[in-house]
Amino acid sequence: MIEFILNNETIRTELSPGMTLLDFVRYEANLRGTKIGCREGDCGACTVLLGKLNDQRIEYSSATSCLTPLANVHGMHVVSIEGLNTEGLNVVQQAFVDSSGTQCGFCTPGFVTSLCAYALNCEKANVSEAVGSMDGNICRCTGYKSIERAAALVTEKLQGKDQNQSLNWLTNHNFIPSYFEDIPEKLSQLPASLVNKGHTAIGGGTDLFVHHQDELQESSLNFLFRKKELFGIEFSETECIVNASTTATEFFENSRLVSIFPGWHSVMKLVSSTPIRNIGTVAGNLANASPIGDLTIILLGLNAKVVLSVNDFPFRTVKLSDLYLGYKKLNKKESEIISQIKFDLPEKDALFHFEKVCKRKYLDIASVNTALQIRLKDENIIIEIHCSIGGVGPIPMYLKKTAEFMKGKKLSPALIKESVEILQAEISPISDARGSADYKRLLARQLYFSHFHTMFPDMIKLEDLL
Amino acid sequence: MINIDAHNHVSGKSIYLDDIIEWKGTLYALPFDVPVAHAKLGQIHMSGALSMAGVIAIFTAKDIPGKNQIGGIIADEPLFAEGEIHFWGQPIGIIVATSERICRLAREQIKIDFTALPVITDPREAQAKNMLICPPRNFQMGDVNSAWDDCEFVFEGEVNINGQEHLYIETQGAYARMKEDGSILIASSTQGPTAVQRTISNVLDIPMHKIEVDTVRLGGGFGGKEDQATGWAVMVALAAQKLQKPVKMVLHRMDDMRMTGKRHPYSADFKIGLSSDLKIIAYEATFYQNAGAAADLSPAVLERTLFHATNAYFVQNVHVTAFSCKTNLPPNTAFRGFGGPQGKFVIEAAITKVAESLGIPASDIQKRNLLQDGDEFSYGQIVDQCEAQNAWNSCE
Repeated sequence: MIEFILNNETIRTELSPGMTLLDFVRYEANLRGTKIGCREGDCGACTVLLGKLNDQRIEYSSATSCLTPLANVHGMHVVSIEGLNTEGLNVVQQAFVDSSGTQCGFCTPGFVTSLCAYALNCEKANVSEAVGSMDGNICRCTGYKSIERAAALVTEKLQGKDQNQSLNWLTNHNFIPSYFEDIPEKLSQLPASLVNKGHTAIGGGTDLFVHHQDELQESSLNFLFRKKELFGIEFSETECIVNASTTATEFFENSRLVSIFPGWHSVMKLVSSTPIRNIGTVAGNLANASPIGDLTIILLGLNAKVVLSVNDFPFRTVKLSDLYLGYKKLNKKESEIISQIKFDLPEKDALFHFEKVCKRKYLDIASVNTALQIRLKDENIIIEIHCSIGGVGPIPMYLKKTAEFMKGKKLSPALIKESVEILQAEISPISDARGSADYKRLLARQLYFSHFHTMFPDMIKLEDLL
Repeated sequence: MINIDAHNHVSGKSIYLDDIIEWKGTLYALPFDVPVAHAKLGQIHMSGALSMAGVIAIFTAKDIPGKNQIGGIIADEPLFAEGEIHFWGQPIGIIVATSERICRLAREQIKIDFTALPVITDPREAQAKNMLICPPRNFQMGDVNSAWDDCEFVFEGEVNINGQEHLYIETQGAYARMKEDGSILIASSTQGPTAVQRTISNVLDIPMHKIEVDTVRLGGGFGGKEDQATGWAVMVALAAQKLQKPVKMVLHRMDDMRMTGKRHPYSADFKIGLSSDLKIIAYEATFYQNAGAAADLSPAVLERTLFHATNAYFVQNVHVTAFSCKTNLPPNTAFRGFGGPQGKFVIEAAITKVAESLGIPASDIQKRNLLQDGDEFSYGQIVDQCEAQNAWNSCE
């Protein structure tokens, strides 16, 4: 049985755990304010809030309910637009009215929900972050400017938010209805774990639910998302350990990782959208085995390993670069799940960089993406280098030969140009909707150059590379 | 001015088509098609789908009591394909079942025989084969042929403009139920309730007064639900009439994008002539409108292209011609601007070509040729209360 709180009501249901939260909210709970636009996470009309308890403190985030299986909200507080209504309008809703941020109105509940998520989460509100919180929502009427003005109005009202008593402050200032204050206590009464004996492992569901909604509803699924033992990111002295149900948002907002990797936040902005990062897992991205998975390419560039478990016990550790055998084919038995991802914490002098080019700047699948980690010692000798690239072969690629060629040599424009030949021999792009094979080879070269030029702007000048 | 619906919109209380709480016994409908753009239609194998639990009926062209015809301007578009398929996504029929999911599963069980025929997607190819939706139109003023000699500069070129998907966030949908004495109440996400009413009357062979169309609001339309909302409404009305049950259909985004028409792609040739002081003396253009497989609103869109062919400029010698070309794409339709943007784009492309060739800013040519009171358009209208120059000045 799945148990959660929907707005101010406790739900206990025996419905299929693989049913989408969207269908439950609209057609079982008959809350029709949450809309259907695409059923694949692109439009944001179905955005809801998910609140989860974390040591007595409740954290809310936006999520696309079309890609969320019911089982994944077990023990959570789910908030639809109806659950955000106060007497009259709340501050966010009023801001949309005052700035004419709604026209046909169909996308509006999604936008309002995303901006409410921001109001709940933000520490020191600013307009660009507030606008950014709606990066998973599409509007076809307004041209967005009026919505941006709504975000500015909301930001203004958020100044002075009390971080220590945020629910109380938000209630008193009419951002959310007062029942929110009772939710943490109610959530703590719900059974923590979902009894779950299904067969096929599923994490956030953000990829599988795009095209397989009908099959998944009837499949025997092993839901990993709410398993306590798979929560969180840990650090040993030398290693970062990412447990399997860690979401992309948790990965990119981890304060330790942010301090280790300069520009970590701008990398995040290139990966999907806020509501999808909030539910999509890092391990799911690896298991999905897409040749252009952004997180996969990042972790290959960090030379990560994965721990494969059977029946909750760690069974073996595999280098991520050895996990992919062919298109969507993994060096992994059906019974094995990815339970952890590990990578060595970079040395102080290591540099890391990620590049991605797609048809749109945000919320798009890469044509080519690539990551590079490098360490130089005296006289610019390369003592460690890892390079990954996606979109140029049937699997996300670790460029083994290119890295072997570079290692031990002195970094220079001439060396980079020479190594591009090896890179080009390692990759095998095909022409498809994301570009011709030639275009992807060109992108591969340019992005590879960009790594070095960005990391060593004084030493590696673009004019010396071209 | 505040949108009168704004309070309900922001609190999720506005009721769109799929937000109507279902009447008891509601059935769901789903269109089916075949993955081919042009073909002779063979047998439709429905027994596998019909034997599935929850599948109530499948309706095709032979089940239509009235006329199998939904064309708005020209009667050239069947509700369900009969004999031939003319575009990929053309509905062949609908499945009616107790849930949307069963409809989708049943659709996979339908097998359709067909013999593929040659496909045309290029409007120039269609024009060359005289495959036109309607006779070509042309607007003329002055005499371009004798004007070229007076021009200091003459440039020619070709322009191609792609289509555009409306992507209204609420997909197409309709919901019908029978009332007393054979009347039908139909909720439809349409920009044209009268077209829905009239077309249901023709297809179901019942008088218009027995059809009540309820359209409270739309989750976006942008022209995409002007003519193209009709077919889906007729389908559920047909099923409701046949089965005497409420029937609802809301398209999945993928079906919507595949089956509905978009902004018209155009290909065009232009010739433009200017005096030494950049006055446009003559402009000639031929537009090849990619109409898709049926007329829809294409003839009206075509006219609007000609109305806007010289944009905000006065040109004394004009000859513009437009062909509405029949191809094997979904019938293209109204979209914000309704053919105007394509007409304007071509003359702007011509001006840009002149500017680039002469090494001057395009704005020099634009500003020099802005309309003024008393100027005449190629279709005979005299310009009055013109603000083009004022608007330009205030932008500068």
